[in-house]
Amino acid sequence: MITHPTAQPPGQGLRILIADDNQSDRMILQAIVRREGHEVLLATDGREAVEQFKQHAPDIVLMDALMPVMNGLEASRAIKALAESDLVPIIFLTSLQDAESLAECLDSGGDDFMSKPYNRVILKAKINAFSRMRAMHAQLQRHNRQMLLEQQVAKTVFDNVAHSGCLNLPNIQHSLSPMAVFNGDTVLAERKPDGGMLLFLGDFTGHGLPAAIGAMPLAEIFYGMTSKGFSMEEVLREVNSKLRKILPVGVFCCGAMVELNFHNKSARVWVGGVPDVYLYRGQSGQVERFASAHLPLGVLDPYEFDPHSLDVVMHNGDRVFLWSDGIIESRNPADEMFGEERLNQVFARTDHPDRIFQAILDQVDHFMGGSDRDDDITLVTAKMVDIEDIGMTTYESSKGSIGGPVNWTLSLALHEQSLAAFNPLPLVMNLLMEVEGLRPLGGQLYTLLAELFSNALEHGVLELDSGLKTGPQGFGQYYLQREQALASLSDGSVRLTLTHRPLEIGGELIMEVTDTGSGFPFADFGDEQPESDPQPSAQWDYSGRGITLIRQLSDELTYLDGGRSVRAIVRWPRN
Amino acid sequence: MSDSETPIQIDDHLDVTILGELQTLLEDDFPDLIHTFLSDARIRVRELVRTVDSGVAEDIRQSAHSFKGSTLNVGAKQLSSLCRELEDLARSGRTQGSKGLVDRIEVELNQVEQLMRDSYL
Repeated sequence: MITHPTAQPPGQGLRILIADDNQSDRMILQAIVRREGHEVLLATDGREAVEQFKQHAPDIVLMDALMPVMNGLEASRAIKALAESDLVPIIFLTSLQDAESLAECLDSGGDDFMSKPYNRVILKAKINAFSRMRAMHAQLQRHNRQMLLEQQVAKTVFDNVAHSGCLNLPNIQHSLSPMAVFNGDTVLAERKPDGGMLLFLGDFTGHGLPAAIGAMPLAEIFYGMTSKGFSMEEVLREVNSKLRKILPVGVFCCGAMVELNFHNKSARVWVGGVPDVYLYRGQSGQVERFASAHLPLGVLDPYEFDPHSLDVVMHNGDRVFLWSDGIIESRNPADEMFGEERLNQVFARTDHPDRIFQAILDQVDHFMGGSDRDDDITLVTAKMVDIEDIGMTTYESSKGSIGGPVNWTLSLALHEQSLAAFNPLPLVMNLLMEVEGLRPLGGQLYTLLAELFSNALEHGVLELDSGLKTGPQGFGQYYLQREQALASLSDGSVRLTLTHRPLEIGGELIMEVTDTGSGFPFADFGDEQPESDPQPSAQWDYSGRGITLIRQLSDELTYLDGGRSVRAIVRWPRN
Repeated sequence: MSDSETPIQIDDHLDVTILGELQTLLEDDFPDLIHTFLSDARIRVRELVRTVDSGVAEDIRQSAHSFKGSTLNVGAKQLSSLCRELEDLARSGRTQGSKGLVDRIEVELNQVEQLMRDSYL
């Protein structure tokens, strides 16, 4: 880019290029322009004019329309192209009379005319007018540069908040422009302490900073709550009420959230205002669609907000696809939309499931006529895999205390009204992570506590039959019953008692979970599962109590009081 | 072909206001401008004769147009209106009558040269 001096006051000391093939005309113009205190550059034809412009970057160009070698129209096109975003006014020197020729001068980039014979007063006025325009333009450019600078700062802050979560896991593919936050698009993914994963794609209304501003608290809440073990519903609820509170009316976030559970092979899907989420079945190649059933985030008041999601059984190799409306609404040069039909064709025609993601990007790009426009496409897909393929969650704690509390007991009882309304796990985990020796065990402790607590609540207090979970409609049915049972619960409670004490080396955590249910015949199932167990998912052994998993995670496991109470002990350091 | 009986009226040929302004503007460089204009005009007229002989209307139009511009700037008003006549003729695609106009332009240039030498050099 060619830069121009802009410091001088308007109309004073400009550098002005005069391009005219007639020597006497040049002499007259030069004299007029010099008299006004400007510096003069001369050219005798169009090519010379372009050369002079390249070398000396004049502020204003006075250009004869008819010249040999390269005429004025061609030369002004070349100069406007060289000037890029800088404003270089070109005034045509002409004795042209007919309207068509005058219009052609303007079309080729001319900004004004000056007719012969030259009038000194008029030329002076024109130069001053364009000089003012140049000063305004330069100020606009400065504001624009300042805005881009501020956007960079905002983006850096956003990147620090949003980092990349777990988007780099091998079972996730995503496409997001580096500056997408200023288009209002966000893609987030984070592991839960139990090994599961939460995936979010959001599309804020508007552009620029107003669209980006909501993404920061959203990401902060998403990462903070997900990694602490809050459920998807709780994350959605918090995001909605935060956005509702901070965003102005008319600014909100369309989005979709998907939770993947790699242990029991299921997904929960919530869609609010973005196009259908696709579930692609790896075996059959069929696509199941989840249409938007909710208003976008940040629209409803907290008490109106509905975070209910759909549950679906998945198998290894199944994939979910989340996207903003950018794909379906992308347009080709003939102004046609890409549309859902073309999108479905991509799924139907792509030979290998792993290639669908790239095929979508390629097809949209091809449709739009190439040239890197897939920069604006926001798309994320995640594949159901075994937990071993992506590893367990590393529980990151920013707690700085060394040692922490080592001998203490916490007892927390949740009664019927609290059981439906409060998830004790993040609170308890927060305390456990104060103990330095337990920090490396965070993921494991979370899973253990989650299993023990949900066993006590769902099978103990609510007396749900986990056999429901195995059918194709199973999870949905199961969670529906769970919800209904919780809502109508009139009596019952779950008590958590946690004790930590130091041992000669390290320490031990004793977790007791007691419920008011009727217990279960634990003795028959106290030992290892028989080798011949035909069930495909061994963790859903007795009534879904996941005893095998619990046993693996704890050093000691004891059932007491007819199965109404369970005690699990974890010692550290682990071998 | 000048009529030696009748003295040449300068106002019929030159715009003395424009020339006066140029004199003020250019000061010592003014005679240089007049010399430059006159020698350039000779070249332009030769070019006009050549295009009229070749008979291509568009070439005649461009040459006439270009010459018109510089004659306007020095206030050679009769010369520029002849150029304009030739330009308009050529624009309509005709060449008939262009020879006669070029002859009149040559005569007018001689007049202008004489007047300029007498009054401004």
